[in-house]
Amino acid sequence: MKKTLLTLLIAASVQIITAQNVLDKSVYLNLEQATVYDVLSALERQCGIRFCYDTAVLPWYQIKVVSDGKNLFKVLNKLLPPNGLAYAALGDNLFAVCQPQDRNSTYLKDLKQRWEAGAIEMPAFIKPLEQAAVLGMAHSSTDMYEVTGLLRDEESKEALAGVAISVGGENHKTLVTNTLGQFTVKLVAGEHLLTTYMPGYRESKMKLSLYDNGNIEILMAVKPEALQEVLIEGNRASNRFQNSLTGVEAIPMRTIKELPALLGEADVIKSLSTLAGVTSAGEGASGFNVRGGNIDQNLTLQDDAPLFNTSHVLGFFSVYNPDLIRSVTLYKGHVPAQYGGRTASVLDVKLRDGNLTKHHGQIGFGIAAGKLIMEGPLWKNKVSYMLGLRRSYSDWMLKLVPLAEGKTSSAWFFDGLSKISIRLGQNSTIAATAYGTKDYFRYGQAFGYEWNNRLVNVVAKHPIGAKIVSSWQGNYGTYKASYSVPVGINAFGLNNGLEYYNLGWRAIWVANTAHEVTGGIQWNTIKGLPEVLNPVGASSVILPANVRKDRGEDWVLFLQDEWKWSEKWRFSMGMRGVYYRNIGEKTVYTYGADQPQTVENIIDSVFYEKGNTVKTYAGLEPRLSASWRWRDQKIFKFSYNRMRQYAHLISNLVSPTPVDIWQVSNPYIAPQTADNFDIGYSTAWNDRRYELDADVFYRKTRSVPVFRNFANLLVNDHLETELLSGSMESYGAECSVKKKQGYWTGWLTYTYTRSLIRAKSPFADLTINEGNRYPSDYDQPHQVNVYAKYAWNPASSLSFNFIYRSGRPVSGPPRVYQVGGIVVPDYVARNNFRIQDYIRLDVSMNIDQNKSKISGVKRSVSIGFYNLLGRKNPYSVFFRRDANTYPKAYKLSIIGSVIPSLNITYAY
Amino acid sequence: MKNSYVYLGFAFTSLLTSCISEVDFPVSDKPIEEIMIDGDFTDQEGPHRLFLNYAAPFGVSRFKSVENAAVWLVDDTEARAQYLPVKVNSDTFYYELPRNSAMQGIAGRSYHVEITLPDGRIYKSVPQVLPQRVNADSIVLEGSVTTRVSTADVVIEERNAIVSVESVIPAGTEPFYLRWDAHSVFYFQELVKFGPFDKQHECFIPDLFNQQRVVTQEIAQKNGQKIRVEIGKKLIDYSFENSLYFNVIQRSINKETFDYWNLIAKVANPQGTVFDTPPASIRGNIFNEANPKEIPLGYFEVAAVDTIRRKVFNGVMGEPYFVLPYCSYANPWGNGPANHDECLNCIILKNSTYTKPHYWID
Repeated sequence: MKKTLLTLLIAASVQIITAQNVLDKSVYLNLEQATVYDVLSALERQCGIRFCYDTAVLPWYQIKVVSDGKNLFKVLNKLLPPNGLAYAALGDNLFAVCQPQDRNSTYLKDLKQRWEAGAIEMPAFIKPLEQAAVLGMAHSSTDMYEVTGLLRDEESKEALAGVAISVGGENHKTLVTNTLGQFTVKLVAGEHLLTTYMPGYRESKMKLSLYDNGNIEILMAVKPEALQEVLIEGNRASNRFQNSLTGVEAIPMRTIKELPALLGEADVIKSLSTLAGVTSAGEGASGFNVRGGNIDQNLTLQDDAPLFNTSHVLGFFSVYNPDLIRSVTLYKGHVPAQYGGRTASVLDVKLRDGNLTKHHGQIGFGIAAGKLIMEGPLWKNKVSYMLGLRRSYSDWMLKLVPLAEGKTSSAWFFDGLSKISIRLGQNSTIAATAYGTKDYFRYGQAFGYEWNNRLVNVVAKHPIGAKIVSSWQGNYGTYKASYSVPVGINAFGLNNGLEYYNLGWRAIWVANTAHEVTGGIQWNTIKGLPEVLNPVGASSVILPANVRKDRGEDWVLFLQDEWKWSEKWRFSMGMRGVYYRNIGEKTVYTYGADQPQTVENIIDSVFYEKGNTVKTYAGLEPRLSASWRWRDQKIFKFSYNRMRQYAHLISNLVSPTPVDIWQVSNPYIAPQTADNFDIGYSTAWNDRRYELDADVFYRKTRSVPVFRNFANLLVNDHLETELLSGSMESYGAECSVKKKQGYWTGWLTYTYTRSLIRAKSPFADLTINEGNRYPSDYDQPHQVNVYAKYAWNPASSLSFNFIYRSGRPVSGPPRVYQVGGIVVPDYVARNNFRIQDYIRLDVSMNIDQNKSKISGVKRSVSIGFYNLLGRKNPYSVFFRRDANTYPKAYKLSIIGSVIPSLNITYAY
Repeated sequence: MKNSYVYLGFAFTSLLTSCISEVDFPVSDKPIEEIMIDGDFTDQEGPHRLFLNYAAPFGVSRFKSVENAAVWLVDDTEARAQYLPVKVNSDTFYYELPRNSAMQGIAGRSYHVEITLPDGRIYKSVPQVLPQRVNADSIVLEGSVTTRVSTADVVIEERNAIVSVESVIPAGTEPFYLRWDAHSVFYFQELVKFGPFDKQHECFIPDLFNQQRVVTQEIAQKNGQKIRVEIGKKLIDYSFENSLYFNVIQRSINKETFDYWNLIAKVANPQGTVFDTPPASIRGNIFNEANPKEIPLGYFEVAAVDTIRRKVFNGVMGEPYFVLPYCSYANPWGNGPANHDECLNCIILKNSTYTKPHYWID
């Protein structure tokens, strides 16, 4: 025993002494954006040592390491503990790197054995994807040849824009692929090494033997999701635009999935409210508000097809299925000319294509809903499919609510999407998508809503020569809603909705490295479906009604040039021309001269047959954004955009109901016209570890429909009698700071926004707030968002989300009066009072387990707590007198406690 | 598994029951000078009352009366009748057109009110035609069990009597507009007292069970048909133990009055849901000729009225709604204190009186 101990002691002493000598070695390193693995590899090369480790414990985010002669001991102590690691000497210049709790003899011995036996696999993603291409027969020459390259995703075969390509050799060059995923370069004959870089992708290396002009294709492979770079830069759109355009935000899908969400349902729309300048009226409120704009002033797209109601369960969730989405980009400042029809922002959601080479699937269960995702090739490398289904089970969960109303209530939603993508030849594609949503909500015997979206769209893309890609798109969609009161003397059913068509052609011409021109033509039409009211039951006294709806049609021509004038100056210039027609069938009422537009003052009417033009509007919408780069990391930006809106959501509620009408512009409801100004500044420091964006913005919108007091907006053939034409001014400043690397990542944003409305009428009775500016429903001057993520290993993270917003305005009564024995609050002005501030803290933990080697199934678990502080944030304040009491102020809180969540997803 | 259900139930209860709680609202101490007028004239013999007060700042529960005003009812022949001031006590002041006044309401004739304040301001109401009366047919009661969440977040089960009225709509091409008021009066008998001079009192207690509920209805194309309208609900408690009268006043009104009351209903009875109509100031039918910009508050209603009553007894809605005796002595010998103070002194109940209503039939 003693002998054994003595032997071990001597061995250990030798190891320590040997290690001590090695640890004294000087290290010279200057590694930027390197992983721990990269640093350990560099140390092995420089110090003649070896490290062994389990790759699962290494963090794969990027760090910076600089050492100008420090000894290895200091370098390791600076490198490993901050990254959750420790080391131990194993002898023969061999060091173990492990988690601190594993630094025991059993683990280290086992690690050494597995390492030496080659049982620890290196992850494939740490190696570049290597490829080779040969153009022409090898010969000796100094001729120059032109190579046109196309960068594609290895699995989906999608063209990749914004990829950096480094061409090695004597004449080192760095190129970036254009919108079409292409690059062109002239090189001297010979061997060249092309290395490509793209956030979220493994590096690719192509050995090019160049002896003739020609085309090459370089494939890039996606890194495992858990190992991708974090935060904003993970999105290609972000990379391309963020530096030169104002107010463009892109949230990586991974961040959306990691954000704490209500009942754990990752939500695209709700996640937007973590960004600067984006708010919502609260939980259960549909839509979102950008820089103080109305909900309907945001164009919400899915693969360039509009959606008119993005809410599930009256706004608790949104209709976008995050598992099917490739990118989410929000244009809240500069909006390129190909987008239009709204005045505040554009939410551009792009769907993924199904995988062309492998079958994948997901099945997930959460508190509120379950999901099923399937995708794969129907014809390998030619045709793929993608199918996504979500269904909530809140209908049966409602039965658990101990209130009688809960037991007789029902609420559920469904959405389904299927997409077929076809590759025709090298660069041509056709994609067809069918999408549908369905919502059902019934509150006891009191009332019920149903609504659904249907959308079919087909997109065909094909190249014209090497520099132009042309694409055709057709969309057909419907939105239908119903509202019913099932029992009683006023029992009724109300149905309304709309259908819409879009046809468009667009071409992107990459003229040269300085200009990328996009042009196209669009035809859009929105037709209101008849609004039908029917009594329900024999005892109902409701009279049937059928209000026919008119149609709005616009023809659009647009041209946009992304112009890189110099290394410092970039411009994005566009012009959008719109010709709009309001088309019958429609009855246009005439009102008495110098009389307010009220039902009592109707003196005549004209009926326009189906297809007849009722009214036309036309206008140009200039779009300009300019950026000036000062030094390397400082960019000043400016933009001016004019935008027009021809369809308006007519609602007098903060959170529109599903049956609120989308009304197209007509003789009395002019198009909303907005002028948007934005001045921005962006900078980064500490090797882009930190980024700062600041914007000052101003938007004036004219012809905003403002509801009159007690407007009757449903089953109304003359909505102009319920509306005023107002103007809206929004202005403010945004500032966001992002930390993009390290254990802790996240962002902090502060926004100051005002959103003010003026609604005047020549008739004092109709004027709101005596014609003075008053805050809109969404005027929340101070907004603070903090999102922080702590990733203690590549697959596990803890996310925090904190939101502070000033209370939004509501109408409050300074006085009361009595009539018929009833004490009535008198609301002398609109939005003259603010509810309490909104404060919420959420937390979630996300764990992505490794794929099982036996079953091939990977499990992800997300646990969260929404509203961790348990605050009863007010949604609204109202004033009511119960029997025998004086009127009091009450607040309605949609969520009054902590809401836990649990989501489990299995993927293969 | 059971725990899972509890967990899920908790999550959704939190979501869907949301919560409503009282909050502070800044109260102004600025004196209010806006006039409010609340009065009516009907086809009944009267008396007809008109309250003339100043509006009050939110948070102040008492309305200051305007005394020494001249209030006249004017018909479409310019005939006039005066509402006379009545001061009941320091808190209650109104103007009254006495019973059997010379001016009686006749359907098809129009009436308005003219008010001259002590400072010379003159207010008038827009003349209104007294509509044709729609008589009420019967009062219908149905038992109902509901649940609600108390302020202590406890789910409470309540039994209520749902009160409806049935009316036969007369023939006619024009729609009818109706409004209802309802109240109840219940009988309360003290416990038997054993003292030689102690009297066992009987009290009659009015209860405005739907005071804050405005019930209106537009009825068209229902000629000759019977309609049923729910006008309120009353908690089934000790007031149902003995006998109780439901009194329903059905008012036939014109469209402008109907629209006004509908707006009052929206403003005075918000549900606090996300679907509530945004509130605003409501313009009544009173105006100041000299200052058209002034918006006087309140309304002068011209209506044809029919009143019906129904007397009910314990258990009228069936066995589940039977009420057990409310009062008893603390000890079995029938003396000493009672379980509730009002059981030996019923006049302490709010609005209680010993006077039997004129319509009460034993």
